Amino acid sequence: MVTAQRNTNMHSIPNQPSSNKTSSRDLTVESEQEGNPALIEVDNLSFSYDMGKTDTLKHINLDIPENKVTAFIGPSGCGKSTLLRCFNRMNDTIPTAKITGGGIKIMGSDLYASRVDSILLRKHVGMVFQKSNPFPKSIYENVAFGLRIAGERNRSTIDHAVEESLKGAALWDEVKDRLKEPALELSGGQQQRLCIARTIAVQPSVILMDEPCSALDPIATAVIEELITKLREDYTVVIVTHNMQQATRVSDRTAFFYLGELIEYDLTSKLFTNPSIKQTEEYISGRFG
Amino acid sequence: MEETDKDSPPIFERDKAWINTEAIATVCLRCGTYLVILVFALIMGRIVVRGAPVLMEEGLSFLSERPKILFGFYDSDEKYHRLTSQEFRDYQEANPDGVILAKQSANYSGGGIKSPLIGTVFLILICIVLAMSIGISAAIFLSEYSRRGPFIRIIRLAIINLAGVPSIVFGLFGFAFFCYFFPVITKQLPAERTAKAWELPTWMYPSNIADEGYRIDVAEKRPESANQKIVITKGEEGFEFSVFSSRGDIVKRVKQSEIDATKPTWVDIEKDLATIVGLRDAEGAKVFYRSPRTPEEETLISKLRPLLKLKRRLWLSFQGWEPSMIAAGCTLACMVLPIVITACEESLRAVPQGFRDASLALGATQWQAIRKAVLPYALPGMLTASVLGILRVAGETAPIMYTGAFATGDLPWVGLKEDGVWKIGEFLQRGVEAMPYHIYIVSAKIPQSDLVRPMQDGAVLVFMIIVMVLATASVILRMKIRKKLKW
Repeated sequence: MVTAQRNTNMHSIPNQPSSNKTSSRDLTVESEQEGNPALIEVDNLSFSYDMGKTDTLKHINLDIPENKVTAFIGPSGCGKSTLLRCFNRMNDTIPTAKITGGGIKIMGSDLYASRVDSILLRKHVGMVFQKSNPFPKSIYENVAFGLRIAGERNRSTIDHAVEESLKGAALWDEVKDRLKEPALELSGGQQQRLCIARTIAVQPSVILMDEPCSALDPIATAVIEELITKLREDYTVVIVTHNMQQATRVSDRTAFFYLGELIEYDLTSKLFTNPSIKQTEEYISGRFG
Repeated sequence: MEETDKDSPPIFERDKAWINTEAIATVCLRCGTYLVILVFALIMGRIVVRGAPVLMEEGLSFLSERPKILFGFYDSDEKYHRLTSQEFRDYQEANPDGVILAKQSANYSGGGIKSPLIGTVFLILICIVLAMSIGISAAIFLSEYSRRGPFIRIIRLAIINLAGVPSIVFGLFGFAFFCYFFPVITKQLPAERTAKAWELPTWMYPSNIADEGYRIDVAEKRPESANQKIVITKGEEGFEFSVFSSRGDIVKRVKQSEIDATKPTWVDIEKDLATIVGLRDAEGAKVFYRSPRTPEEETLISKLRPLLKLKRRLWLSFQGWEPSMIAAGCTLACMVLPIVITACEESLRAVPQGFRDASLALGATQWQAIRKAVLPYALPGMLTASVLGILRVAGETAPIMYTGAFATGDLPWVGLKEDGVWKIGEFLQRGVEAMPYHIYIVSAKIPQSDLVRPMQDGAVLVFMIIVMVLATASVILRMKIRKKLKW
């Protein structure tokens, strides 16, 4: 259903994108020059939501470097969220979703190999959702959730992890006196930071963020953006955003998607000031999208 | 100014015809709505007006006494008496010369409604346990695990259609399936009505069952069904047990000296239950099934009993439970299942998808996500909605009248204590009296007279009050929990 809707949206937009393989190859070279090895390698990935009838992602090639913030931008339905959800195999929950070509490697190992345990994978690749979704439990229990399902019983270990995670998510000072209170009493921005704390409590290496600020006011957004730039020190962050200013503020690299194809992928500073492809320029200057 | 107003009508003047159709429509809709209230008021009014005086008069004893036979008669002063059987006897003793005129009697119309109330409570409990456990499992599977396909569509169609099956059909189904076909594990010989029976292998027996042993019944009369017979012969070295097959061949012979009374020793019988039919002493056969027995024979039997231990056997037999509490509870559970499944699925769907996604993204398995982040928030809704549905079917007569409801004043546990031991295992296989069936009996099955009426009115009122109180309580509970669990 979702796919069909997305497809009609796509077709209403003119300008069929041209091939982009050259640009992503260029980038691979650049990332090596930067010295940060690629943590996630997407190799010619095609993905379909309807058992391969139509491809939502078409021949995507990109490398995401370690300990950097990578932003995915593009108009609605361009496939940026879909690609993000491929990184932790959340698309597995959709029965008709299917990789139709290519593959993804994380730390050099194929993500969609038959022996990969998607449960284990998701502990290494955490995810923060568009709508903050804390459980209706206490603040403490929310952060401890991931540890508890992993079978952690030791109270002091959990206490320590909760404190560290909340500190890591810049929330500790605000909630340290009311850890037992319901998480749903927090403000929207605090809830989203709680979700980030919950994610980093299981110590992932990658954090995927699917438009984490789209439901927040500018002040809460600023706090989270600051947090994201800080997270870069310990984690590899991939963020999907609608907000191009946000991409320029938080990310090191930006990938521009359009109609399921990767149009351009470059250093954020370069992509926004001197895009090499015309469509990117049209999009970032607000001519469509 | 006034004149001009009258002469020239306002531009937006009402059209009279339009007003009329509007008015008629409003009145019709209003009448329809008020009719509902009228029906409710008529039912409730009649029940309350006629039932309340009964409750006032009888007081708490109406709830705490079992149904009894009621006698009604005039005495010599033309005073009308309504007495239960015990009271009637007392009255006769107190007034041995009293005149009793126009005496009438009615079954189940005196005393109170304790036993049907308790029976209904047990039926509801059985129904809740069965319907909730099956219903919640099915709902979780359908809403969380199943993928769309023709098979799932067939299941959903079945659920919808199950909800439309008339209650009498459920009753007949329960009678055929739960009472006479359902596989049960039985210690008794499989009944003749069994469709198929297998003996269970020994390793499946619960550990306590072998030690307990099996007491051989000494036949009161010549048995017809026992396939094997034990004849006890008094030999020179004491008793000798001979086991005969149905054709009269000796299957086995055990001497008393071979039996160690301190240990459980088995007179091992290969097939079927054996019954002691006779005892021979040196002079010849003395037959046991003669009754009454001589004191000598009785002492002999009591000596023999502990020696004679049969290997206890268990059967898996497709013979059903006969009309019983468990059969009636199962039938009610089948009936309420579609309601429970639908209600549970709705509760599950009301839990935000974000909870599932967030759990999965934290590395939870699907079952972990459901158990930790979905079920806790869906359970209150599931419980209340299911309880409401179950209360609805608890008022049904048709499903239980063939499967377990009996017109009896007895409580379900009467007679369960045998030799000072409660036979708990048999409790569920007892028949019960239930409220709807009791009401049906007193208002349709026994001869009608003014004697019966108070019981009818009182029982109906109490039943209505109970159902309404429970229904309201579960709705209030749900609202409270909903307020607590907001997201």
